[in-house]
Amino acid sequence: MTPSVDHLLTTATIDWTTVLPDAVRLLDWSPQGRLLALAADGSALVEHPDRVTAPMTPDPCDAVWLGERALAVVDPLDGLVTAGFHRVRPLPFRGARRVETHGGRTVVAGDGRLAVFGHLGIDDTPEVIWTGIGVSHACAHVGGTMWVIGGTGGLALVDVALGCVDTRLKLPGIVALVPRGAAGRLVASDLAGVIHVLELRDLDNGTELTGYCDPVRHLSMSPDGRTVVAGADDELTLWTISEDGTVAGEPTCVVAHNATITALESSERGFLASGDEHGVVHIWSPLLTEYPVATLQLGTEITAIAWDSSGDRLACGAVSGELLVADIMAGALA
Amino acid sequence: MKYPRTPPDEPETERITRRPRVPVTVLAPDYQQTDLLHRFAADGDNFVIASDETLASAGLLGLIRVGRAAVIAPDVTSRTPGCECCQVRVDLVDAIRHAVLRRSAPRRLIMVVDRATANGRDRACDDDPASDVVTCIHTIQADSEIERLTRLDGLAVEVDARSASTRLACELRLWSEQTEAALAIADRIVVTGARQLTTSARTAVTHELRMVNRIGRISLDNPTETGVDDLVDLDAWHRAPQCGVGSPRASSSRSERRTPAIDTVVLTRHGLLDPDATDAWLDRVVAAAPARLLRFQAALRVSTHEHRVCVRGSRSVMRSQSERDPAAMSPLEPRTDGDSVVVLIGRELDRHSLSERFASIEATL
Repeated sequence: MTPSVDHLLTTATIDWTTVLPDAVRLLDWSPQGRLLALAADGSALVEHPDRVTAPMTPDPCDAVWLGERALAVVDPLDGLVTAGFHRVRPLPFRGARRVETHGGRTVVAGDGRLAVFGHLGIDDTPEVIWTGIGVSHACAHVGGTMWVIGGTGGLALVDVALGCVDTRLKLPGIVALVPRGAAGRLVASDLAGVIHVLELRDLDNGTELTGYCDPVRHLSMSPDGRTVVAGADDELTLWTISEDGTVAGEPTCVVAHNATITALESSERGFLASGDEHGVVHIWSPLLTEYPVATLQLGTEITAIAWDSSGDRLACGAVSGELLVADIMAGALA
Repeated sequence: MKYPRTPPDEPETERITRRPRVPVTVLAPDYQQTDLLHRFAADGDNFVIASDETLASAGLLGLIRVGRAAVIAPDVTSRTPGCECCQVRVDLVDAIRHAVLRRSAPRRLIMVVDRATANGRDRACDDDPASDVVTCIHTIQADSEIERLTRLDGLAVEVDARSASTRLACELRLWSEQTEAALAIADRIVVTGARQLTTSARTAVTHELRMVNRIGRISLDNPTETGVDDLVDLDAWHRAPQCGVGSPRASSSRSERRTPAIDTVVLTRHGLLDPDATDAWLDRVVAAAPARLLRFQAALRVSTHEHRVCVRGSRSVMRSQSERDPAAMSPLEPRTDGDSVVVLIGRELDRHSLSERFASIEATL
């Protein structure tokens, strides 16, 4: 969706807030707008503030909705813990790190391996693909049967239908990864502080965005793939990417927060939400990069931010367990 | 390396909301020794970060269930491909984030680095970065996220007295290169089983350790009986270097013939230093041999700062802060503005050249 002038009249209205038993570690929205908030102690809030589960796993590192009525939580020791399938024991996967789902497949990335499950309520036996990039730190669906995995040894583009690695790119440790399959583009940041803008049709010839002395852990890309936003320290950097994947001009830098940025996420409407270690969440419009169009405040460091698929609802979690859901409405010009 | 900026006046509310950085004590126990780990785990203030094998062998896997431990699996890579001095343990970042970003953050983190081998029994594992204490120390200081959440408090290395004494008597290699590097930069060396040695054997082992380490305290007491309070809350990396704690004495023993592979160079200088010239000298020190520089610690009197500037680092990373900063000083430490002191610990350091160049830094009158 193309951003309009209406963005300038944006309002953020808090719908509800609650407090989880521990720090909010992860947020995920289901396709129909149900919220999953995973706490550091393994308990999970499902949809409503009064619906919090008992701890599912002692040290969860990732979680995802499986449709609307089931979810999967990843623990490096226990493996894949599922809820909604009447399964008592976790699916063992030692060293599991990331889980994602798309098109009826659930993919778990781990220690050099990728486990591809079918419907988790029926099929317990995954197809295992060796990625050859060491420990996985990021995993995302890019389109069709293609998935991209970022790990210690670089990037791997995997065709899960064929069960093989399509392309492997050697990079010094991927820390963040954002694909935009519709735009045929993905961005990845590595341990050396370099952001790689890569065209899916030709991963070997990408563009490097440099100038960071530390790894860029907070990375985002607009839905059309034309703007890459990087959060480092208290600063946001906006890079404009041209049609052919090259950088168009100098980036725009904004000192966006008074403290270190700890979370960053862009919405389908083109809004950007950034959170910092003082609990401040700013909403940004691509039309106005100098000032946030709306601001929310939580009590402690922001640990997770997630937009729903419509781009109208925003969930923010903090280290104190505080969870806030707000409606973000672009104004209407008369 | 840049000197710290003078902190601007901050509103009171901003200071209150800032989270204190959690101190990290790195523990390198001797091969398959779990006594020290048990003592640390007994203290409810400590959060243990260790491999699942270590926790399992110590019978402490249950700590994970109660949210007092996190598991790490060595995941080593280099920020610059092929560069040894840029090697980092990526797994530590997630583990520390998971440990610290909790509703009730732990008071201390105890990070256990498994030693693949002890006492040089297996040369093949000498180059394994997964068991390299220096790589862990470097990662804690080099990674911006870890630096934001934690501060390196101290390094405690355990040595088995009986094994060391036996190997010393047999004139065998005492420890692997990695163990020697860990010992050289340790703030505390715990010699377990020392009570079972004769007085002369204890003296010989202590002498060998002092040959390698000139900055830390060597404890021959049995910490499993006396507790581990002496190993935590050291604040050893953020303050002025404590050098010359018992310099090696002249000895006629045959160990005297062995030259330690790791040098400790101590440089002192009177008067105010020019900040730019000092900065340039520090850059040259790091650039000369980052992979060989295991630990760097300094307290420098530069003309632009009222108090000394404490500089610390290992390999290619250096961090600095004012000695006046509360985190830079122990509460019991008297405020002194003495001379500039630099301690460098590393392999094949050119003591003469370092000394000459440090002495030639322009002074500010």
